[in-house]
Amino acid sequence: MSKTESAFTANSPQDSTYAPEPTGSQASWAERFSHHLTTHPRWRHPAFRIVAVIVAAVLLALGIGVPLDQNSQLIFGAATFIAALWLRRTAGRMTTLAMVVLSVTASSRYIYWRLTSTIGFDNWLDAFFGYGLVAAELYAFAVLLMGYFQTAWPLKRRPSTMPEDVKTWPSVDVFIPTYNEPLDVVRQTVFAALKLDWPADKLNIYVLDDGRRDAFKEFCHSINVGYITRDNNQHAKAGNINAALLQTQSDYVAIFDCDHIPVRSFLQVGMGWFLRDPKLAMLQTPHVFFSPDPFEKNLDTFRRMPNEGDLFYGIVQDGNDLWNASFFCGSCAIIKRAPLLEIGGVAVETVTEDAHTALKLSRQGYSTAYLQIPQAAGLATESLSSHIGQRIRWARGMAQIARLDNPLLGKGLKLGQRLCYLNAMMHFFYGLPRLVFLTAPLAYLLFGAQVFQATALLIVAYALPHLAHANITNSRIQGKFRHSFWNEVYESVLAWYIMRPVLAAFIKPSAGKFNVTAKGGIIAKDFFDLHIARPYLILLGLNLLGFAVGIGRIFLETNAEVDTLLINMVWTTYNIILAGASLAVASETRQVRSTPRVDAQRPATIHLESGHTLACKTQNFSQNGLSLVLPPGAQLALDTPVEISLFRGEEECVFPAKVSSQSDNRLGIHLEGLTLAQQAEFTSLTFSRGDAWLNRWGQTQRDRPLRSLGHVIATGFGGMLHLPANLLNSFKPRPEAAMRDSNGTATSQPSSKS
Amino acid sequence: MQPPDDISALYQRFDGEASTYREIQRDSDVQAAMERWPQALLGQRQSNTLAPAIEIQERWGQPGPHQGSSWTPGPQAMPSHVVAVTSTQGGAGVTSVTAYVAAACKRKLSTPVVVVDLSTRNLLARYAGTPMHSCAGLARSTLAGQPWRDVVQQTKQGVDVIAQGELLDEDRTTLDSHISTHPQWLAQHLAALQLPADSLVLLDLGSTPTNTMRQALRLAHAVLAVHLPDVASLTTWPALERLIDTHCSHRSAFTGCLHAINQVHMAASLGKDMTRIMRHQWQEANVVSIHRDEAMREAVAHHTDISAFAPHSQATRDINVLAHTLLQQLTSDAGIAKAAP
Repeated sequence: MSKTESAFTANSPQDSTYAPEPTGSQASWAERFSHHLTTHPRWRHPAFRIVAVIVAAVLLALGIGVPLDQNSQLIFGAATFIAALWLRRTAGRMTTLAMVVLSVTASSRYIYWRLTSTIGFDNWLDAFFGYGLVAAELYAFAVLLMGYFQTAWPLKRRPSTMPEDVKTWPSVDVFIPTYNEPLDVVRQTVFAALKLDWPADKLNIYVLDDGRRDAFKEFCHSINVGYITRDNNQHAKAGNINAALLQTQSDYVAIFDCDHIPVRSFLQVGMGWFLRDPKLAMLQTPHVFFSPDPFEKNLDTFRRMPNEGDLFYGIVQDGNDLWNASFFCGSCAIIKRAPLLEIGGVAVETVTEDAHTALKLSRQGYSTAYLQIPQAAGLATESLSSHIGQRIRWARGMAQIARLDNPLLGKGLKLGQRLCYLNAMMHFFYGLPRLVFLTAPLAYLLFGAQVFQATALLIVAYALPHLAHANITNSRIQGKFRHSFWNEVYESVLAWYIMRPVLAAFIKPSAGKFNVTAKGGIIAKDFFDLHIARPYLILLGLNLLGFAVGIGRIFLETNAEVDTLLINMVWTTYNIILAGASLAVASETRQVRSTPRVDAQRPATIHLESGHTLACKTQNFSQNGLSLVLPPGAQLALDTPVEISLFRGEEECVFPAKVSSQSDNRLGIHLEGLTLAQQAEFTSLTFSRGDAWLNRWGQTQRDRPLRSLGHVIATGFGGMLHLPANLLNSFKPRPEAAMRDSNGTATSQPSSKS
Repeated sequence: MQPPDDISALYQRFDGEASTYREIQRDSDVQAAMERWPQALLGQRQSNTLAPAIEIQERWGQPGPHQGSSWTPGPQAMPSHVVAVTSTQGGAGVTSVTAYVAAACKRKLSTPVVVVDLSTRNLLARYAGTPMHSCAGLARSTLAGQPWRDVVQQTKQGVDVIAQGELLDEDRTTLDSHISTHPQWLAQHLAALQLPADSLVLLDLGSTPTNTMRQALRLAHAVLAVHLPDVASLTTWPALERLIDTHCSHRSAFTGCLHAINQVHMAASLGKDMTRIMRHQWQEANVVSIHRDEAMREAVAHHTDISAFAPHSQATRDINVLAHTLLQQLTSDAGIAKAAP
């Protein structure tokens, strides 16, 4: 792991070793203890290590395998959970690892007991549902273990400083692939690319237009940016990039989806590692979105809760980086040209060309890296249907990789890399297991199938520690980037849709597409997407039925197994909440603006035609306007022509504009008559400031499992509460035209998104 | 020069060294500005090639430590923060900047802030907003052999103003020769004010190099140079710089030159380019932009301070930034360490 070691040396002085010296009052007793324990010189002797491993293995086997009766198991489970809760109060990575050990033990113990003591099915009905559930549980167990492996020790790589002599800096081609996105969106990215702080003679910017549009060509020529087309659209974005590789020659390629706006420091922050590690072939930075995704928009959680993608970019990629298995994510990344050409360009065999490209680079012995610093931001998919379409593509592609280029097989990979890729692949197979969990209690409630050959209380005594440990441990690892129980909501929304394409692609990798139509465009009216919501409605109906039958059986059945019924009804209730939350997501909220606004409080100046000025602050900015907070008492009439100064340090630019609205002390400003140079300056002082997205990243409230559970429950009940009205509305005719944005500012385009 | 705020914030996030960031776009903007106005730096280059011997031979005497030390007054009488405000060209706004910065400083300080009008136009009282009906001032007091303390007037903001006052032309000649023959004239009069040691004194020097200006520069702990974003300021700066070098830079108590670019408007092509070039040229020093703002002139017409007249204007914000920067420069560790001996 030479790469990993070099990454650690970069993290000096604080992080320079695996077990940094805990100093000062901030270091917890656990950190000091573990530091003392792990740095003891005795560990250098192999004998001590071997003995320690044997002792640990024996203890683990005892913890997993020793059978206990119901009461002893209850006490054992409670004691370990209390130990975990106590550990949780101390800071540090060693505590996290200790909690992972407890969680793995509790889950292994459950699974061992499950496999050895609960499977003795009497009839085919019990066996069908029973083995089905066991299989789903084994899947979840495997994903849990691999997830711990992947995320227990995020690398937290820091940028490497560029050499002082600018002349030694390498040349870079910036690729901005586009297919059918509107020019308005692409312009921002091009302007931002022009403002990258990189020597001009070593920076070439190319718009790769698979749409072959004259307006794009004209625009590129007017600002002196390369414009590349090809005569076909084979292999979509991957083919587009590969065609451009043939016509360009810089040492490195930086790739941005056409709606991902890089900040000016992107290359200086990202390129240092390539100069430091000659084997490095790809460096990825997080994807940050300045518009809400459908979950955030429809549940109103934008910037209040980490979103679906944050877990991957916040924890998983950083965890992958430790194992030299960071994935390429298609955008906001730098790739070294020579290795990329060596593997034949961007992979075209699968529809997730990005992850597959990284896999191929890894197989050739090249390193990949991840830098968790937001240095670009883009637009999220607007509607749930396009979001689902995007996820289906990822899931299909991953299933294709699993079949065509399985990371467990083949040469060139280290074990850690194989496991990281395997987990990424397995993750997308959650569709079927999730549906099993969403319907499992019905087997007993509706059909009386005995899927567990054990008493209800014993099941609780084994399963509860397994679930509770997994929850608090993951909450500790992921708390900044994923809130408890939301994973279940995300999976419930997508499960039905990705199950079929994943299985089909796995069975027949070349199988046709299963994409639902991506509608795109802004959502002009509130509406309920009945088409998308159908599976959630069925799940809701089944679980409500199961719950009702459960109540009926408790009261009507003679010698009813009340405790078993209750357990299944609690489970059903949770499933009802998940289905309700999914329905809430399918209730599309009207989108007010076609160009999203970004909050930013920074100084600004209004210059009036009279020669007077007003010092004020920005409230937010968008692509073509600003909202300003005026000093008390200031009044400006509508349509007043003004000039606006924006600042960045000592840098200042002035933009012509008009007053578009005023309410109280808020002034809406619409930019008017900007030259191309001024438009680029505006982008560089807003979207592409070096710190533009820092406050978007990992800055939401940290997870608190019970509060998060409350949030999920409230969302689920909200979804059910609004269901009758939503259903009524969705049967009214809906003008299809309203879905489309008349201005052509629609942005979602799965074909270019990764 | 400070790294810009966005880069500082970014590098702080990963404990990086923000000063390693290369401002490539900014540098290329400066380059482009210089290429657009190839003549702008022309005069400057020529005066830079002048041999230094010529200036040193001027008639008003030899600069250097032995003269400086003979002027140094007793610490109990001499204020430790004397700022010489001057400019590279007439009409750059020295007097208004002096008056407004003094008022802004006074809002931050409990100690006396004194402005002294050493330019012959006698405009400071008008800009500072004190009564102007008398022709009394330091000129008459000097000739009458009276202390300047008698002519101090206070503004509404609490700034103490010592006006120049009116003189007949023949009296002006007498005063000029008095100043020429008394190299400690200014030092003695300032000391005689018996101000608390930590008072702030701003000397309005106008833009013409006179003996008064030279005396002031020899006392100054900081120079505030006011410029316009145009070729004239760029061209005359080396001459002023030499003056500052001659009289200030060798003294350990001198904290440096602070630049104010007045009437900045970054929309105008020439003004924007000149501002960029100036900032680039003075990147080792503190540079503050004061934006073009009608309120600057209107405040004078209303005989009041800018921050009272247009509290929410950009000019007021800029004046406050300038005052803050000036006080920081005077009281920074380096400044205090230098001023202490």
